[in-house]
Amino acid sequence: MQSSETTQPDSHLPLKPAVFLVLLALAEEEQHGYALASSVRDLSGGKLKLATGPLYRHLQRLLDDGLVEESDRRPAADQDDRRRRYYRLTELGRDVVAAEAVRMADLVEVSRSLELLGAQGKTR
Amino acid sequence: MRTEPAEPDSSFRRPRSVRIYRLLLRAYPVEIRTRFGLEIYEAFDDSLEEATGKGRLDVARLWLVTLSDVAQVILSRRSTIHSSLGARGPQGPPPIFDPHGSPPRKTKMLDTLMQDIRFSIRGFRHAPAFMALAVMIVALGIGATTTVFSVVQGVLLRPLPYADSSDLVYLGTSWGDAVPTYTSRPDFIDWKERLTTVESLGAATLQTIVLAGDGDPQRVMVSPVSRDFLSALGVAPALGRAFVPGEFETGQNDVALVSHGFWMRYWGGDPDVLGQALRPEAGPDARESYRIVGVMPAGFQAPEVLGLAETEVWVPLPMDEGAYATSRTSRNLRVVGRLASGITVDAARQEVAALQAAMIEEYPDSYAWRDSTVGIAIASLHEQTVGESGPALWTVFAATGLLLLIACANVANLLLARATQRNREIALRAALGAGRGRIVTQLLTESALLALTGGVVGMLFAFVGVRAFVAFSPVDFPRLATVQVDVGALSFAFALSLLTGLVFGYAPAMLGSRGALISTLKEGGNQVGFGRSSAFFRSSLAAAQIALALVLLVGAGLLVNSYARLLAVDPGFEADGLLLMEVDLGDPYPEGEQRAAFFAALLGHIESIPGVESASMVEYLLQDFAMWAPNVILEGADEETPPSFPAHVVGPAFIETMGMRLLRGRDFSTQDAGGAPPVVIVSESLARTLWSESDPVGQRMRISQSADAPWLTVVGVAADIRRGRVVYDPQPELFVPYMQFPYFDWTQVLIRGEVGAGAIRGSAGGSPAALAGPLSQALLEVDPKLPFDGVITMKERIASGLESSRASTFLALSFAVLSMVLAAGGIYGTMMYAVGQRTREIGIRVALGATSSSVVRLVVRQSMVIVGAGIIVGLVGALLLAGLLETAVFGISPTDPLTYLAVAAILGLVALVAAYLPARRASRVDPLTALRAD
Repeated sequence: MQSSETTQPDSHLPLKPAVFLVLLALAEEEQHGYALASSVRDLSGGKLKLATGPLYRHLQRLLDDGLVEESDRRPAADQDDRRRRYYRLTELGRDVVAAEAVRMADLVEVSRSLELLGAQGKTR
Repeated sequence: MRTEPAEPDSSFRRPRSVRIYRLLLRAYPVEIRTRFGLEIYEAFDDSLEEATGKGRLDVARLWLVTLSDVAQVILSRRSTIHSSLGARGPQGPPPIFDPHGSPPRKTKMLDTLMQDIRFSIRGFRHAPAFMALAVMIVALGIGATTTVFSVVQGVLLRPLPYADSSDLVYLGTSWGDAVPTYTSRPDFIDWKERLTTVESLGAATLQTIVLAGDGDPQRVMVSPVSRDFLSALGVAPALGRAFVPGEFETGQNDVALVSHGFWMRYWGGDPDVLGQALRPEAGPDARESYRIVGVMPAGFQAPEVLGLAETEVWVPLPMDEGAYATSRTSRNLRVVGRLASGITVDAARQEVAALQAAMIEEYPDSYAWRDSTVGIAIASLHEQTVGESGPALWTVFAATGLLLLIACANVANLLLARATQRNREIALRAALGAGRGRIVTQLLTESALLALTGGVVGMLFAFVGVRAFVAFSPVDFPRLATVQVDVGALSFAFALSLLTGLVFGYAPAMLGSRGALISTLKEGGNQVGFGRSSAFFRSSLAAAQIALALVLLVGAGLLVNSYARLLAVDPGFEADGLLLMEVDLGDPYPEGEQRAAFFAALLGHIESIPGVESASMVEYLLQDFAMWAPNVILEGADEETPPSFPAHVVGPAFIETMGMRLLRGRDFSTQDAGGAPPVVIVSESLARTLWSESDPVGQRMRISQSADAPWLTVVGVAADIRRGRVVYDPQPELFVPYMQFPYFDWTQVLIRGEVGAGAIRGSAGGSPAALAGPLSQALLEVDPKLPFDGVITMKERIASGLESSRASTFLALSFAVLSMVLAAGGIYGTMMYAVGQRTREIGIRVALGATSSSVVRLVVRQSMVIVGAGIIVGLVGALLLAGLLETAVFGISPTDPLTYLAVAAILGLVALVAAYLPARRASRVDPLTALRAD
């Protein structure tokens, strides 16, 4: 059973950038591990390349925290590979990723009000 | 159902890579592995496939990322385990004093180590340029040392591949020195009887036979051996049996043992080979056939120092056969033996000396040589095999050790420079409670890690280095075939890396940690207690490196220059477009007329090959001594002892085919044959020697002192050529037609021509292979039983005579370049350090208006004082040592000013670049930061 504390989306914030991207990728669609890594790379504009090991460490964490669950979806029979599992966001996961997005949007708003965004690249 | 054709690429790589990955994954927590299981491999496999599709670089990157991830997991796991150990402690917070409650000491030490390593890696990441430079310097040092160690180990240290090989000795006739050479049969029999300190004396000799292989005849080395030869080497057939005593009797000796390689080649490893017949097509005392009675073990090779390494067939050697059986001066036996148990080579040498005295007394005629006598020498087979390469290799090894020391000094310098930049960090850690020991450990861990990384890269260098060493060594360098980087060499490199890490890490760690004692934080800046004297020491060290590099560079420069000149020497003939094909007639042509007829036919066939311009022959041209040097008697002269001159027996159109210059008269033609009047062509310098200014053409000479020797008429004068090693000056010599003097049964056919698109001309572009087919066909048409031994271009033949020059040039150049890189690193480290020391001063200068270019100039000027001193000392040193190269260089003075200047300029430029980098860094000092820091 999950404690009430961990079912509160806010208790998971802030997310590590990589974890946020994993959740975003899963928000798009259910995916298996390798496809997930590719999506993360695409979402980050090629900046974040998750190696297999870290990817599964994040997944393990997300599964434990109940943000992600295994999907019962299977690919078409001729492409099926029993080793491959699909993952999707849980209700909680969806809430968390949304909460993180809101948090970031707030931060962006603050930055904008401080006129930081216009001055990018001249900070030093 | 049809199976899909497998993609060779992916089906090959994947299983193995996944296996490796699975092994790496062991580092992961077990929960992850059990939870995701095969899925992880699948995902990794997918990434690998994608990377493979993109290219090798992407595959390498994937592995790198994976490996560094695994390393991180390992490091982070250690601390997790440790903290979980603590958390699992029995009763909440640890008591203040509890001898049993604290984690075991060992775990704590390991934990500290892991922490240090993590910390070091983080530190290196922030200074990638420093890290790369330091690693490269260590890698060069370790790489060079491991390369030479591999060679030393393979050539000098590894025992010969025979049982108890340290007992093996080489025994033989010696000519004025203590080096054993070949021996006669009666001597061998006497020695074997009389010697007690050496047992199982065995002898072997060498022949070639020709076997009809699958179509083309093949030449095979056969070694007739005495009864004890193979048993002395401690080897027995792997299949079948050894020779039995009866088979050493004449008439019974039609049996043979074959090598493993020969067995595989001719019989494909079929065990039915036993009892099969070996039928030579040609060869000395060619028998009906040999019956194969055994196969030697794989990898067995007769000793190379005896010239038997390529033997593939062994047959019994009857001691009572032919002229050799009784002549004490027909020395063709290689004799090996085993020291009796407990006897040293020196002890055996005493007995051999006594034997020598006895033999000289009994057989004074056979043992007479010049004004003295020949001797009997004994030497360890290993020592004799290694020969002169031993001292040479040890010297090179010592020199590499010196290089490694320099590398250590440089890295120590770099670490010191880094320590000055880090002393605030170190002081901070000390203030937070780190003891000096703890800080020293941390710094030493850093240098050990650096050294090990450098060591690993160095091992990779060693693999390349050993290959290069083997490729550039002369063919006759002993035991090179088996030299490789093996586990021993890798362990050596590993141990060496750790050791160097401690050596170059110790001083910086001690000095660096001292900064923690005086409270740098408070007193500020850069006073990490390195005195003026140590700065002077460092500058001197950098200057000394420059000097050493310059000496080596001058040596290498001279050798390179000299080698280029050797290659460019005009040999007096046109080597381009000339091919050599060796022909060994052997037994089937006992008579001179037969041989002359054979070669006339062969040359005819070859000249009809399209693209061949002309063909001729010469018995052997490119060696330092002449096969034949007859006495030359001029018509009308009456000398007691007529002078002798080297003579060559050549084919028609020799001058034309060689591309020599004909100064007077004519070339030989096919008309100069058996029945025609005998003719001779003399070289320019012989003409000058014999007739000074008068015209030699038409003069007559005899080349034998016997009264009925024919008179030879001079028909031409050819310009001198350099034969043998081109370093030797041309000699006076003469040429006679083979068709009139068919003395030799082996000779080299010379072919000049242009086949296809420059197939011969310019060996760089064309390949002699294009002509090999037609030439072997021509040989087959004239005599189908003769083997075709291949062709070689004249250019290749000349280059092979320069092998030892090439080897020493290569070695000198490698050392010089290495030392230059190291010296550059030394300058870089020293200046980096100096700049670090003077940050504050530079900051003040900048604050007072110094421009960045003036700061660069300031630093570069300081470095150029060091470089200049080094170069001057180096130039003087090189001049003093120039005498050593007197005999090694050709066509250039060892004090050639141009070489000295060029080399000094190159070194100065490299040093300038090395100094510029720290200077640029200094110019970027922000005065505010520099001043605020204090």
